[in-house]
Amino acid sequence: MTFQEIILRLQNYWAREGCLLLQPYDLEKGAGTFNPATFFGVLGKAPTAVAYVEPSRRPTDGRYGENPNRLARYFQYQVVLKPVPADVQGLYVRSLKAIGLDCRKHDLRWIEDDWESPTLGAAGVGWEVWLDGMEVTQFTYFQQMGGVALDPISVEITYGLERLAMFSQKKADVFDLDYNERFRYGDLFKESERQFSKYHFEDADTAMLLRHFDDCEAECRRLAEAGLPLPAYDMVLRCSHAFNVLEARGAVSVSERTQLIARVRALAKKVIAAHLEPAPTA
Amino acid sequence: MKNAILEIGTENLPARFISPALAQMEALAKQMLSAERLKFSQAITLGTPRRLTLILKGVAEKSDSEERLRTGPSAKLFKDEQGRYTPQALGFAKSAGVRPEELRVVSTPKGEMLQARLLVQGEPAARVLARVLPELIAKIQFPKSLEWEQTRFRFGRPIRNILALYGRKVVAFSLAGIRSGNKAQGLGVGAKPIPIAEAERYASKLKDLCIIADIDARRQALSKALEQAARRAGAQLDKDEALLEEIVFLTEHPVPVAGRFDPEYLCLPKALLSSVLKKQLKFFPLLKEDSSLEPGFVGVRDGVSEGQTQVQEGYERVLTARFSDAQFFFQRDLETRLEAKLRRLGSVTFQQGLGSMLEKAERVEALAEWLFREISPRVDLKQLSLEDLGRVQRIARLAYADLASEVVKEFPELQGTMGGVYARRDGEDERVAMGLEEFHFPLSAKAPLPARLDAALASLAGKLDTLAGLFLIGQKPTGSEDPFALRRAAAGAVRIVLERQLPLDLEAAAGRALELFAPRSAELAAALPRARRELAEFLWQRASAVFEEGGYGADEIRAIQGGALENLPRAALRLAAVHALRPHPDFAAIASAFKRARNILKQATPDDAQAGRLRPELLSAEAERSLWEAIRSIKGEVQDKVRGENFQEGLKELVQLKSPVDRFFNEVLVMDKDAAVKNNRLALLASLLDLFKEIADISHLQSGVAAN
Repeated sequence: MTFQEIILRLQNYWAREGCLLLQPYDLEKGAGTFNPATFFGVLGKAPTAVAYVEPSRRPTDGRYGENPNRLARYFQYQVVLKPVPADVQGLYVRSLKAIGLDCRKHDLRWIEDDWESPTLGAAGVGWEVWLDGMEVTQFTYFQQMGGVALDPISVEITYGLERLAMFSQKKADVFDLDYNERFRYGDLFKESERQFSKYHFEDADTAMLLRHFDDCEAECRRLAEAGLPLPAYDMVLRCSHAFNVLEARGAVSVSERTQLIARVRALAKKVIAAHLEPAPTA
Repeated sequence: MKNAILEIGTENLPARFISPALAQMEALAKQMLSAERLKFSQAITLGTPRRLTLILKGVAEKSDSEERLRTGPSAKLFKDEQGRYTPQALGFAKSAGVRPEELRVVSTPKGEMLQARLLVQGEPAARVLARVLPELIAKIQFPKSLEWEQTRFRFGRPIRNILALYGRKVVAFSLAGIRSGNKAQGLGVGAKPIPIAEAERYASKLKDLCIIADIDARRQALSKALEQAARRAGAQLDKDEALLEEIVFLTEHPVPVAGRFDPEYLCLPKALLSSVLKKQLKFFPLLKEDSSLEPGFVGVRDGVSEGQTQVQEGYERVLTARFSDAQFFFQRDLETRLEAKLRRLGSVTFQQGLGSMLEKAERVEALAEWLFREISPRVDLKQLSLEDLGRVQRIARLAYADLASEVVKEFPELQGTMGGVYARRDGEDERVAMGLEEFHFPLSAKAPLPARLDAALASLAGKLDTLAGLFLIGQKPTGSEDPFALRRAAAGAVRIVLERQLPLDLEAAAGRALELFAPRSAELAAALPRARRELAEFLWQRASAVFEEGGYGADEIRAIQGGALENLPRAALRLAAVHALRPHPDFAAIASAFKRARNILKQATPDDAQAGRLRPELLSAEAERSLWEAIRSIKGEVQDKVRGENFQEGLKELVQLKSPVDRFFNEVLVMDKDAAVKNNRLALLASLLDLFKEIADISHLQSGVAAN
């Protein structure tokens, strides 16, 4: 099954299950969890059921397009459900069936893996899902976001789309994947992998990025205090990405790393506090 | 009597949660049902990643009835002047659940009081269970738990089904939004629930549907199937016990799937390939006759055996991807020498306040040299010659370099092993490479030590440096907290000194390790005296633990504590001598005589004790003269034996003292009125104790039989 067909089928499946299909959020981020639909969506009592494709950037994972398994940017398919349906594992297994994978004919394993995002102050309990030994999904019951305990609990299902496609197409190299009938994944993204790896590892202007980090941090605080948590959150994403590029560039020592992560986490908490504050009665 | 069953059907529990949870269920059932006075004959537990099951056999139909007495207000408040019950009496009767006319007056230490006597009738078992089982489930503790539904119940993983029966009837309760019923959870996600008629039929019913709920049965089935799969592949199974145990708890119905990989990967180090197979994919490696790797493996899938070929191909593809990743890391590592990797450790912190790993490596190298120079004059030259010094230092210097390698970052368990591999590629002396492999030994409490002396010395230096540093910054282990594995490091140091028979003063060596930190900062220098004291005490505790594991009694170990750390191999011989002579019929009596002598000397005032020298001419009583004669006659003998480290023979001389010592204590009063006589007798006792002090202070021995 082609890469785009997998996305289409997942979209159809989760739409039928009542999910709101959102589009990717238009800023760089390390994982689908950073999309505001998840970050803000898991907070509070209001039910939510959303699904979306999210391009995710991991500068340190880039390999100039030369490693068959590693990418600086890849695609996640993210589903967030609150409250959690009792049959959520079954829902997931049927979604695999929808993309042509019958779990009875495969080895489906749920391996303990408690997910954490130190930059978002987020933590959850769950599994990596292995399909015939390949890790294809992260399945997490969120317990905390921005340091706030969640009630009700949300479940987050994050499919690694390239992994699933490699599994489905029996390909050993991500760049050999059929994106559709005409294009291979490599035709579309190999050059971007090469250029971005060069940028992240060799070219990035670290002084500019550090300035950018400081500016966005200040702006985030100002906006959060002005009662504008949504734009403030964009600044958190910008800080987080600047940090990721700085790290890939080797510009961050071990102790600085801890400090920068703590600064982003403090911002995420501030944004959440602003978001949860009751709206001022005008 | 009927059987009862509880199955908590969960989403997939982590492997490590299952056994502890089942043990708690059994203990809780015993404790909670006994509190409810509901008898049963036997509790059995079964479990898989998706079910925790408790079967109670022979549960009584009803709980036992019980008489409960409750004392209330003073008897003065029973009735008023008109003979009517007072409001207080009525209130008490009501709260105790009896009618007012059933109240009695009893006398207590506090005076006459009202008492209610209530006969609590036994309750039907199903009702007791309906109350106890949900509480029992709520009491199970997990290393980590979560919330997943509206009632905010916490458990190790979400509960999705509850089977609860007494006999054939459902024990009805609700928990975490689930109503208990008569169905067990099916095999795998989305499978139909399995109706269960009665507890007795549970395991066999599940087995028909390919769920082996019994843990031992599953372990045996897995073990057998793995062996078969290996045999079919024409190879030996590398049957890793820890991996086997993990898989027992990751599967409900384990089915082996054998596969192959490209023999080209066999050019990678065996340890690296094994780590990919075992740690990353949970596959069992296959071995050739000569125990080198066969280009094949056995994986284990969960469930039924549909689509085996498909699963095998999937396993093989994932394995190839992981091997090619490992190859990439390995080749990256081969681009630099260990020396270059070592320099990179300059930016890796050892511990806050203790500098980098590079500085650690340099300190360990210096300490290893110091240890070598301490030991070399005292050991046989065949064991160690000066040309070995360079190698000991080289091992110490490079021991941490592989921490900077890509492979060790990805596979921390290969630390040391990879150091050896890279050293060979760098063209280092083969003995250096072997030393690097063994540097971190022992890897667990009873694991082997470095087999070679050069590696042992470097390893000892590494352990002492770690201990010294962490003791200096106040991170010594407390209670069960030992995050830096310092107990293992100290026990390793003790074992190295003991098993290599190193004539080394371990306390002095620890002191040297501490001093090497002092130039770093004034704080560390100031912490030196405290750390020195604490570390010596800690090392002695670990040495005692090592001796205790060797089967020695705590009092025997205390008897040889004096001077033990100064020379542990000698201390071990002294200890063996004490232990060997302990069963001798006269030994206990002599030990208690020594204890008596020790106590008398302890009570003596400083003035008395100052009477150091014995003056034979003052020995008046026959008994004291004969004791002195006895001491004198064996003294030379004992000293010779001690010099020759023949401690057992030395200690045997003690037996000759039995009758003179007995006679002395029977006939002589030490605390004589005449100060000179008294002091002389104290001096005689002191010389008695001194005689054996280089072997043991036997006054520490408890009477009774020695521990074996």
